[in-house]
Amino acid sequence: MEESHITILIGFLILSAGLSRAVFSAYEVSPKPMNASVQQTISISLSTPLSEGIFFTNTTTCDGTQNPITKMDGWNNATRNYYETTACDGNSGYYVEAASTNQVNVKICHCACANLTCSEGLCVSGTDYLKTMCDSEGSPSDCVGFSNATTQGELSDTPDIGLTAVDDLGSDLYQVIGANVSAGSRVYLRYWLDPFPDSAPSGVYNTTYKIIAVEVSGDCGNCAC
Amino acid sequence: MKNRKVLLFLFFLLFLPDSTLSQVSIGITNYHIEDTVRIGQYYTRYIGVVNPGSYDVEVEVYFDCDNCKQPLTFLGNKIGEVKEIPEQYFRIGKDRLYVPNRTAEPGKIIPIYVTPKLLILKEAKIYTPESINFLLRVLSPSYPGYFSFLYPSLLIGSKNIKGRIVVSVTKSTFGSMGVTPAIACTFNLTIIGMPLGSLLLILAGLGIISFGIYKKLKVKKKRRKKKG
Repeated sequence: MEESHITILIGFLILSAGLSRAVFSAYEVSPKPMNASVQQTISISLSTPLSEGIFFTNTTTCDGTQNPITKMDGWNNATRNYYETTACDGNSGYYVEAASTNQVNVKICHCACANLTCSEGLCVSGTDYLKTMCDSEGSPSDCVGFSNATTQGELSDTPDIGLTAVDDLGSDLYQVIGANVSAGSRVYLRYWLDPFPDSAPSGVYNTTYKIIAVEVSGDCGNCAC
Repeated sequence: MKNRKVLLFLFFLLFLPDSTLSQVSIGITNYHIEDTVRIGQYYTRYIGVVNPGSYDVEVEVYFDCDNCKQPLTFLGNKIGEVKEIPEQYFRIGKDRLYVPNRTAEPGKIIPIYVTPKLLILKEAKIYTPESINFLLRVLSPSYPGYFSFLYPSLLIGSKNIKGRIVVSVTKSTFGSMGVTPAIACTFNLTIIGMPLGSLLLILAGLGIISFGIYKKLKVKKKRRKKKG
């Protein structure tokens, strides 16, 4: 047998050893690969006013009707911040409820997909906007602010948190509004808008707003819209 | 007469909407899946979508990945990103689903086909400098400022895909929805690929075979020369 034949034979032996190691390690009979931690249902529900949407009205009126905003420098109420009352002392109509059948607590988050963008009126559709995201969570201004609590009594009458959450790569993230919500509990919310830019032209401005729930130890993730 | 009034009142109460159930709701039967799989092992997982509310809903189902994007740097500057394609590891069987009201467990089933392979595709996205973008936009005004391409890669070692399977309501018999609810199941998949040792053995084997063939060809050439 020639020397070159031996070399090729050794090569084939090593190649087949490598292949068999790759193949057999891939098909190795090991503990079953399907290992679910738990199999239980989690559900959430939105209150009817929240399902309808968040409609900002002029100044701090609380009669439930939506009027065009003229107060561009300051906070403007959402129409159902004080539900079924004309006085500004009622309960909020906005809440998210964790189902009473949930076996684990849930984390509830929210996000706005983009700025409030012009859809009709004298503003340029798709170009003119009102800023939704705040520069920081605390002391919000020139953006959408909100308050949240697990009881109506604790719910603030002023926007103490700003809508914001962006990751290192600049992607929008969900913002936590209920970090640990037990079965049957609710997260109550109130919303306000401080329009920016103050010189935004007259018109109707929209965006998509989302609410998500995950198991309490999970992350709400990216605000994919 | 009084009894009739009481009966009428009770009858009226019967038809009052239930305050909890007359809401837009969405639920999921698995809230956390943690799997480890080796390449070549295929299986199907199932997730059920439930709807305890009183309105029918239409949902979209997608995977939201936490670690699929890695920045691509050159001399310390970010020039783009490399993106894992989750579909190379698993595929969600249904991306849209109609879930009638009061759908309880097991709910509407979504299959998740786990199909890890040795040879996978990745996507590279390269950002072009603004000076080039300006010129390119003269030719194509919609040029996004980057170009992307797919390239093949071997799954060596192990790979962890972290994220969540999101079930998001898109439509409802409630009517026009201002706020859309979603629910998510944490999904962490660890794929064990080809060990590095196997790759080195294969490469060594191929190298030795090539060397052997080269040597044989050389010997043949010498013999021909001698004969000639």
